[in-house]
Amino acid sequence: MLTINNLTKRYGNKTAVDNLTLHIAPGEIYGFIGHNGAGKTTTIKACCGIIGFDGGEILVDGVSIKENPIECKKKFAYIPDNPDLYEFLSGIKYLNFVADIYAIPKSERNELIKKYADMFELTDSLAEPISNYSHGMKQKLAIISALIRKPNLMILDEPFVGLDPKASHLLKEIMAELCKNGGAIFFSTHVLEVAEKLCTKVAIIKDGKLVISGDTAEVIGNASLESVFLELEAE
Amino acid sequence: MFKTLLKINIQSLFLSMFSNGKGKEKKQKKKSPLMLVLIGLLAIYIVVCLIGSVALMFSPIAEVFGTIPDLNWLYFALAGIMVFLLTFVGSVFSTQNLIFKAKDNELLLSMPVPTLYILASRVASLFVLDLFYAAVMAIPMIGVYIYHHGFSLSLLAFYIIGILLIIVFSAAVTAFCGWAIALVSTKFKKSNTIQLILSVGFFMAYMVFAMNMQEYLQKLLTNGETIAAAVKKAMPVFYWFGKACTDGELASIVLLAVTAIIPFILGCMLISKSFIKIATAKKSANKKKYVAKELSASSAKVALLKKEFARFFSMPMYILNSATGGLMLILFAVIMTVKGDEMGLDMLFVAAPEVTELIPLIIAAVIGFCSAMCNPAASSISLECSKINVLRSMPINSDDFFFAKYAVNFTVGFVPMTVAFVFIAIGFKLEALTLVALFVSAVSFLALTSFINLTANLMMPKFSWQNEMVVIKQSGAVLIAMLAGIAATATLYAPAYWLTDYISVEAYFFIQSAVCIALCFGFIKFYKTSGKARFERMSA
Repeated sequence: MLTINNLTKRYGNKTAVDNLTLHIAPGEIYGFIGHNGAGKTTTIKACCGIIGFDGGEILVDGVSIKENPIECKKKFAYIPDNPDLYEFLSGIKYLNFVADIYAIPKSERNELIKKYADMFELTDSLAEPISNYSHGMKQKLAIISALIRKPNLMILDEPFVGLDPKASHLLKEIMAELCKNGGAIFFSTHVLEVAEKLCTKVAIIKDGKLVISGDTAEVIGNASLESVFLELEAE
Repeated sequence: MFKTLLKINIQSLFLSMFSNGKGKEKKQKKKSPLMLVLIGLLAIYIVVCLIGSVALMFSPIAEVFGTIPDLNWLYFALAGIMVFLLTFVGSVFSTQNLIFKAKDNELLLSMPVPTLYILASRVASLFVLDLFYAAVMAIPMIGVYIYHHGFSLSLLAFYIIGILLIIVFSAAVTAFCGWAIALVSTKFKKSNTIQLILSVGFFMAYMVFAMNMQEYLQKLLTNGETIAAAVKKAMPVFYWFGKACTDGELASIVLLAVTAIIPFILGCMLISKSFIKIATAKKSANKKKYVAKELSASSAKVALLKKEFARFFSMPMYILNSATGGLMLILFAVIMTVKGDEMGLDMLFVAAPEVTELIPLIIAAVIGFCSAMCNPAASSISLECSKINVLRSMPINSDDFFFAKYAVNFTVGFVPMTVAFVFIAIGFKLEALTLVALFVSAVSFLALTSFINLTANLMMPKFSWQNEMVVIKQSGAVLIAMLAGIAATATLYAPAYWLTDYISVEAYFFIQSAVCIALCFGFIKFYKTSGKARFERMSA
């Protein structure tokens, strides 16, 4: 569903991502782990067509993000690490804006918004301007705006930051459900316990290079993801 | 600690003016020396024009009052009033954003930094901003006085000290007003509307004052003594300033210093008491509960346009700064219509037909200048800030993205232009063909300047900022857009002065419209190719 082949991204002389290859198949929840500045967000932004790259190829459902960005972007939903939304809009207006961009039929959008807003207990606040929202509420709104697109692929950058335990649990359930229905999820996280429990596959990146990737069980063996990560970091 | 805070604030205000803020990518490109020279030359041109026009306006006053021993202080009092007004109007509505709405307020409040330091550093940067406004008025006014009456070291010293104290006084009053506006804003749900009405009211009052300046100066020349008595009684601060300059009275400058510095300190202390409350306030505690209703669906293009309009109307600062031209245009048209007869327009039409031939050209140039001052697109890309990443991750094509920003700019110029045309049609009694040609010319020129504004921001986006005000008021893109707009006005309308000897003014307008439309097509081609490529490289 998401194919990253030999991705290389340079900023001047610095190579932020170096020849990275990852394949995320339908039904997989793929955790992307690495220290700060390892290249996770750069990889995610490249996958979403936010930044260009110097080498390699990224395909979403076989479509190149470089060659056909608009077609690709219709296939996934992205949630950034910082839910910086349009504060001058109300929650409902923001969701309607996203629904317009993704051409969600009028008949469906009300239903989808109600379903997810109720789920994340945000319905009552939808009329409020986003400027009045807390960080967690903004994160919930960003998640709802992603879910109403009914994406097959979700690309998330640190999605659990700022969520309360209930919303966090709910998001994990939704992620699992999406994958059960043939979707896929690629997300970065620093919460290794979550990655260990939730992900079917994990990849660890260090200084822009892929250190290890594969089935979570195979990668961690008898140890924990935390000990594997720390060991690889120390090398 | 205070020095560090001040440095950061000033950096945020000025030094990053031309930074494109594209993070790591920006290291790859530097501005070409030619671009920097052009920017410099344009900036010098504008400063010279501004200072020159002030000098010309005040030269006769300086000449007359400098020779009247008992009234020569009035000229300096007038300089003080002008500096105070300019700095006050220039920064009163920036204050709320600069002091209370800065994005780093919470970060700084979490640090072991005394609130008074945060506040004082913000007010000090306001002072620095005011210095630039004051210079436009203060430099030419002392210049013409020295030109007419000779140089004296004590005069210059007292003048500089006095002007600095007046700026302190103005900063104190401005900070106090900003605090009051911010306090009101926390109480009302529709605070933006209130703020907008206040802003437009202030601006209109200032414009009316500026447009009637010549009349006031005339009255000053004929009723000097009466006005001097009134200033001495009602505005002693400016009287002390005048006396210090002309008579070198130390006592006057001390009185001025006390009057300026004490309110400044008291103001800072007062504001610091409620700074945390205002800076961290959420608007209105009464939550509006959402009631589900059928949502309207639009195309992506319309959705982006609606979002752009929502942003425009959500920020009074944005409206006031980027729609200045529209307000000026309406004011110009209304004054000319209402006071046209009084100003002798009717008589002019009859007495000097050769001059009246120039009237459509003058109107066109005024409209062109005002169009150039309507520039929301010059900062709308920068205002996306980090949200540009979310937009870029969506299936949005560059045409729709640019169209939304362009359309807002065009509409913001077009609506007041149409209103103004109604008044122009009534007030100037132009022939139907002339009026149509003028309208076509104005609309096509607005179409062009809207492209210029958008392109300036596309070439110089600034996605990293602490405060929207920096982007809206002081970013390089806005400055370049304004200068380019003025240059376009001069280039496209000045030739008419000579060419209308050979062709009719209507023909000139149609030719000029054709040139504007051709240039617009050039821009459209640019946005389909290079512009699109730039959009695809955009990230915060």
